[in-house]
Formats: sequence, C-alpha cells, structure tokens
Amino acid sequence: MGPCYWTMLYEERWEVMNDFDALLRSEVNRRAFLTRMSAAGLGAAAVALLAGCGGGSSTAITPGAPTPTPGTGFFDPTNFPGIPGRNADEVVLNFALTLEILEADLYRQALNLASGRALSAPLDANAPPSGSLGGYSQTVGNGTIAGNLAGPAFLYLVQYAYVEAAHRDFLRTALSSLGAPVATPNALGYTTTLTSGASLSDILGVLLIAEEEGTRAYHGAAPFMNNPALLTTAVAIYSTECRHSAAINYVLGKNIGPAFLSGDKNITGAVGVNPAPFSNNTFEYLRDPVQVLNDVQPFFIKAN
Amino acid sequence: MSEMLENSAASATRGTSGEGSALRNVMIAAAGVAAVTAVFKPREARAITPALTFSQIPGTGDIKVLNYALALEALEANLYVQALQRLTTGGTNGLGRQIPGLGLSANELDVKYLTEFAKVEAEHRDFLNGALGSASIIGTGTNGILRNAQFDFGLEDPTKNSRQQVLELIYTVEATGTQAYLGAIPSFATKTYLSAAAGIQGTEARHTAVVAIIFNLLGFTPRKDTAPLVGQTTNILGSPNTAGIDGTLSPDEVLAAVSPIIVLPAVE
Repeated sequence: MGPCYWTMLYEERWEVMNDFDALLRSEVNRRAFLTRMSAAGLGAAAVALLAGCGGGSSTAITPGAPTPTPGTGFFDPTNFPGIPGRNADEVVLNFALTLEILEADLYRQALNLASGRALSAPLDANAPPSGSLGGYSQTVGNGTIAGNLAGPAFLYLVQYAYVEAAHRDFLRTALSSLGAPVATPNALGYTTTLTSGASLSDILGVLLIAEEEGTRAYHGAAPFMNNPALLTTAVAIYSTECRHSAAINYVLGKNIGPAFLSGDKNITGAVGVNPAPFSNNTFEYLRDPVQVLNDVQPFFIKAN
Repeated sequence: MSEMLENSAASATRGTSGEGSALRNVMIAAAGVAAVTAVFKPREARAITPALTFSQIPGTGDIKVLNYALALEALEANLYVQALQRLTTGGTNGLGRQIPGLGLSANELDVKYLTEFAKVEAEHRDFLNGALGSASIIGTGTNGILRNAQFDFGLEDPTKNSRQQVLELIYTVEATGTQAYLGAIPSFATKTYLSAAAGIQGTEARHTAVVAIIFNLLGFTPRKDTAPLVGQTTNILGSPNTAGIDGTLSPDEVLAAVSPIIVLPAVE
C-alpha cells in the first residue's frame, strides 16, 4: 500500500491529485503522471511510489476534534520540540523518522550483541528470506525465554531489525521527495543498558520498550496529521509496530498487549486504563509526542 | 481473504495451498472487486449478493466509516464464537447449523488465545455499536440493515475445517481487518474517531501476529509471518509491500470478500 499513498505526497500539485484515480486505470495516464513527476524532479521516487497502486481517495480529512493538547498549532514547540518540518504532516513524519532512526539502531546493536558481532557492525546487506536467519546465529543464552520460543525469538530479532531499517529509509526517502527538511540521527549515537553478558530475553526486553513506545508514539501523533494518505501510511507503520510488540511480548511470556503502562493515555484521551466495561487489551494506548520524546531520551548519547 | 476463499471454495482450488495458491495469485494480481467476487462461491442462497459496496453502508462521513467497521467487527466477533465451537466441544451457530467439535482443551495455545481475542472483538463490536447508537448498522433504526444478520463461515463442514484451516481462517480475517481499517481512514470526515479506530486496528495487528506464532508452533505449514518483512514484494494478503509496512484494502474490496459470508433473513 505504502507506495500508492506516497504519490499523494505532492499535495500542492492538485492537478496530479485530481488525475489520481484516472491514472490508476490507464497505462497512458500512468506514463503521463510519471512524465510530470519526472519534470518536477521526482521521477525515480514517483516510479517507486506508483508501483502497485490500488484504489485511492483524495477525500480531505477536515481538521477537527480531538484537538491534540497541549498547544494548538503544529509548530507549537510544546508538541514536537526540536522536530523539523514545514507543515504538520512533515513534522509528524520527522517525529516518526526520529524514532525509526533510534529503533533501527537499537535493533542493529541488539542483533550484533545477540549474535556475537561487534556492536558497531552494520546489518548484513540483504534481509534474509522469510523464516531464514541469513548469516546470523544466536550466541547468547536464552535467558527467561522458553526453549521452544528461543528460535522464533531470535528469528523475529533478525526480521524486525531489517524492517525497522526499512521504515527509517522509507520515511527519509518520502521526506526528501517532498523537499522537506529531514531529521538527522543523534550526533553521538544511541545506547542501552545492555552489556556483553546480556541474554536474549534481556535484549528483547529492551527492544520491547522501544516497540511499545513506538506504537504509542504513532497513535498519539496521528491526529496531528492532515493529509489522509500520509496519515494512512503512518498508521500502517504503527500497526507493524503493534505486530512486533505482540510477538516480542509472546516470546517473553508477557501479555501480548495492548497492556496499560503507567503514563499511557487511552483512546478517550484520559490517562488511565480503558473505560469500563472494556478490558485492558481492547484498545491500543497512546502518548503525546512530547512525552514520547522525553521517554526515549535515555537511549540518546549526550555530550558530557 | 485468500485463505478464507480457499476454505469456502471447492477443495480442488486449494492445490498446493498457501503462497502458491491460485486464489492468492488472483488476489496479488488483481486485488480487485471483480476478481474477488468472481472466485468467491457463496454457498448460502440468502447471503448478500451482489456484494455490498461502501456506498451502501448507511450514514455519511464518520457514521458511514464506523458502520463499516462495525459490520466487520460483528463478523469477526461471531467468527471467534464459531471457530471456538469448532476447536472445542462443538455447538450450533446462528444459522442453526451443528458445528462438530475437534475436542481441543482450553489449555491448548490456540483455544487459549482465541478465547481472549473473542472477548476483545466482542468489545470492539459493542464499543462501535454504542458509539453509533440509533445510527448503528446492526441496530433497530433505519440504518440497521444488518440487525438480524448471521455469518456463514462454513464451519459446520468437518472436511474443510481442520485445526490448521480454522487458524488460517482466523489469521486471514484478522489480517483483513488490519488492512480494512487502513483502507477506510481516508473516508473519515473528521478526526474525532481516528484514535479509537487506530486503537482497534493495532489490536487486530497484534492478533494476527500471535495467530501466526501459534500456527507455526503447532507445526503447520507453510509457516506464517508475524509481520510484513523486508524483501517480500507482497505482504500477508497480497498487497504491495516495499518497506515492511502493512497494506491496505479498500472498503469495496473488503465488502466484496465478506458479503458472501453475511446472511440476511429471508424476510426482513
């Protein structure tokens, strides 16, 4: 789906938007669209974005309740402090990119740690096919993970490491295509409390924090967005974080979630568990962007 | 919906099953309403035909989207009831058909988690129904076009509902739910219900992941992925996957696939 919606990134080009449905149904129109994108310097991206487009709607979402709080504007520094962007959608995408850069690096480090490689090693070039570990093998103990779940646990570590890197790259490409400012990695990098003696359960326990925070981050930031296509894409990334969270919870023997964590908001915006009569696992929780940015600070290496 | 399609179509279409199935390929190639409708063979004369379209879902704006979601949640909630009947001690579904049980105990992984998810889906249904009130598609008001609907998954047929096939059905329906919400987001008129819709959609994604884990732990093949992966050209239901991101299904695509399951009384 993603690619399709990214064509709608070019929000200011309304003539393109209006032709959107037609181009999906016509090879001639697809070529015309690509020509125009190319003329706009967006050719390569547009080709990628158009691949596999299905139906689409350019129906605008009217900004409406609930207005995220605190603050009323997308450029209010109390909502997204330090996050770049020329409009609300770009700010949210850069907020997401900031977190995906972090997650991707945490996964890279975690996979290196779990497979006995140098912490600084990059991911192997190609993602292994489904069910395969590629060149990776587990060198750390299972910790508290049940014997029959250690295999799946390590597999998910490998798979999701590549997925998070892909999310990061996807957002970077999208923002670049828009001509938007692009969030940059923390200059000094990222760190965790994990040490060389960490077990697989220790390692996945840290990644779980990042994944669950990620679900709450996207959920809390989504209402700030205005472009329905970009919003859909953001939610589509969010639900993969939900999947990852569920799988990691499962192999760690935890409630698969969504389980209330201290500081969470529920879907009504209230701080606390879901309203009666609904149970803990019924709705995903959310957090305000400013809270998320604060929550993840311990992963950011700071200058002394 | 490919596994669902396989379950309900003649067994000959199953072929080698899984990723190479003809039906899946149809989904991948077309993912279109016409293609989906053409391969789906409703076995119940009173099933909705021709398929519902989004334009026929009652209400406008947010009401319409919520009614669409409610139709799917009602279907999902009922699927869990019937699937659990099939996996455990059997029972009678809303159409009065006897579903023979497989006799699995409550301690089995699939029974344990499906029991949890059944509760969640029922709560999603009740939440949406409550939010819609008199505008509900399953209510007694003028919007209530599905108020007496039943759901025919064919679970009464023991030759098509092995433990594996039941789990494939659940997996497919949950994956469809995940993508259906994504496809419906642009139809919201306001952001009032966005957080609730996303809050439900994420849980469907979690359910899909856990059903995949259990499916694999039980040794069924071909093994299922917990999430869209990098390097796959298509994701779980065949829509394009470029960056490990969930796919979307448009409301009309989803309604085309589920309408043959929705059975209305002969006389309203």
